[in-house]
Amino acid sequence: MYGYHGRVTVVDLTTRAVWREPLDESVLRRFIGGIGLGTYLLYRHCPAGAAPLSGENPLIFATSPLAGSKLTTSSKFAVVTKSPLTGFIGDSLSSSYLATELKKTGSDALVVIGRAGRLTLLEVTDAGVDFLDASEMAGLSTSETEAAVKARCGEGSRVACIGPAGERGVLYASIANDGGRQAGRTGPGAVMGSKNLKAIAVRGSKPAQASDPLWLRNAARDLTRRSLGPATEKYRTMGTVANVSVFNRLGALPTRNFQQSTFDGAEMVSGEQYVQAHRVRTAHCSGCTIGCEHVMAVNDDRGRSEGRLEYESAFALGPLVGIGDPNDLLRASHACDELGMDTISAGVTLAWAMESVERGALTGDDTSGPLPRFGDAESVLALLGLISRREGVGGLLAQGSRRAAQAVGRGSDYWAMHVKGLEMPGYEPRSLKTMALGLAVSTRGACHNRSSAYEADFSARVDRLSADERRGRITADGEDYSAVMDSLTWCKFLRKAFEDFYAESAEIYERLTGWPTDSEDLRRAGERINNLKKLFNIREGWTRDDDTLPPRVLDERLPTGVAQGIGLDREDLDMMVQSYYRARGWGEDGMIPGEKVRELELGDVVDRDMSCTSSRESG
Amino acid sequence: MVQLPRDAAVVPAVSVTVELFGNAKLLAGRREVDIAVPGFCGIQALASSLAEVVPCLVGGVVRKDEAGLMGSYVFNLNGTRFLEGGVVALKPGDRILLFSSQAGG
Repeated sequence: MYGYHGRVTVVDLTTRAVWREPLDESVLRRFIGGIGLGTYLLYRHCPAGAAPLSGENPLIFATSPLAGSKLTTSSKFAVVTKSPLTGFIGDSLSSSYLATELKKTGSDALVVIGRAGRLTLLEVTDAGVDFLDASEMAGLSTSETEAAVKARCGEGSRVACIGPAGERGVLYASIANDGGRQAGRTGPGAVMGSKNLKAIAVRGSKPAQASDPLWLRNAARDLTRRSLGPATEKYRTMGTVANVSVFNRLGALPTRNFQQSTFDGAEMVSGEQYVQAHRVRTAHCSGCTIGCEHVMAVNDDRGRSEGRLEYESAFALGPLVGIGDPNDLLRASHACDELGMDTISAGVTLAWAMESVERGALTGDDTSGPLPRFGDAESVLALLGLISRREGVGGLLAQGSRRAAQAVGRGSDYWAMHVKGLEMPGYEPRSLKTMALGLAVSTRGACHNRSSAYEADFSARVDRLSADERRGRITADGEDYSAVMDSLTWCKFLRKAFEDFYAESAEIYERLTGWPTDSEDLRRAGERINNLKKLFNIREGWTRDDDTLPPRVLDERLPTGVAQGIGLDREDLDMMVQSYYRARGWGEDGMIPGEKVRELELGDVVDRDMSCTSSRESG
Repeated sequence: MVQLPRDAAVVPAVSVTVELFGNAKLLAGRREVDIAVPGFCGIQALASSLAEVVPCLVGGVVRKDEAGLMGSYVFNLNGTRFLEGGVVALKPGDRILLFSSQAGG
């Protein structure tokens, strides 16, 4: 077999059993790798109704056919599990050396089930899997853990690990790898922590072979040339933090818990400001020619803090919580990276708490610890620590905005800015109507990445301030395209370097695997993967009511900026959601008909009985 | 597409402000510039007028032939409408925003 190894390694932490399961051509061609393969394995290995923090919930690391090739940006892997935040599919992506090293261990994926008796380090090589005591690593930050694992297992090892947040079960804990990269969203770090798994060290020597390596070498050279051109300039010169000033100008920068879409202090925390005053270097994922990582440093009486800064972290720990000081923002972002927490969920949950304090819904009588207020950076930094340790008010906030609002009540669910339990990213839906739909229907909750629906809003294709029925097809197509990117795996920052994404990717896949593949094969795979993600969610209790947006978005109009007065009412959202269901070939209730399941060759994967009554509460 | 009036050739020039973002702002060393363009105006006219006022943008932001923008960039009118071809009717005081064309992050 070319491009793959044709097998999965399964590790049971409870029994310390390790075995391999075959992956045949039919599975690999249908689900490709990365997110697609991870989704397939999740459906297979996760029992219906499994509690996310129980040993039954598998934690899956899935590589891809392109990982290990010389094709730029392809060193990525997926982490797929049942999310403790949402109770639905939790899929996230990360990058760099771990992707290729994991593949070199001779498997296309690693599935971890069960729960270890003590804090454990798994050492995975092509020879097998060792279970090592990691007790001395308890409480270490992500960077400290990576260093400790390399000291123990060798500098050539690549490490995926959790920080204190994952150990303590913060529901939006992340998994870190390769110097601060994060599989950030949906709480995979909490799942890893629930298994008493502190880290995985990976070291392999068996790369998969390519069917036509000479052709691929030439293709890689051509793609490298294109990756250094205008299609990627923003990422190379400034990084995603360039979005702050643009979104602010367009009235799309969520501010003060989505109460506003412009921020008076945006210039000080803009990409331009950070690059001029704080950037110390740029960095690359392994095998990537773009180099989107812009490392910023700040130095004041609190000492030096250094770390990469992305737009989502900048919005969530900046304008969203009223912070306009670049030093404070960078420190908060870096703290999340070290503690091992999703910056988006942390920031949005903090913003919920800030508004709750303002409105009297959260008081000192409810819990101990500093009460957060908009613009108060010291309380943010202190609370991030409390959240990671689940102490005082941190214990409440560690559950995420949905559960925190449920616990506090007093109407605070109104301003809990999540979809399906996953906190909203930095795209104001009222002024980005295609993105609004993408957020509402995404299977993993409020997600900008799985549909890239914002691309239409930032173009002449649509009027971003108005809703219409075309958005359904645009969003569905964007999801299918993204699923293929996330399964092959390509970095999305490369997307504009392709002249014909499906055709070029199909040829590359065929030359890699030797399997005849055309554009329609890949497009269909993307559709299949998205339908399987939805089928998993239906099995775990999804209903039509889950495809919506927070009440604030549907009730309030934007007060400032170029989108002043713009809102999104329920009727328009429902119209767009229905257009999306029609584009998908689903019923008005969003359920997937049997003929669609058969058409997409999913019949052998999903249960016959789709009337699942499993609970979606976390364990 | 805007229908040109019969007497478009004699429509007086208007003064508009180009707001610069991202690398364009860093290269130009300022956040906005005023340019004079025809009242009915396409991308080429906007780009060449911008190049005249901020020549350091040529090659990096504006195409070397000044016939448009480099592929990394896009114009937006008043924060509401992206300009990707055709002709747009401008009035004095309009603001042209110059963004990266890569939206995500």
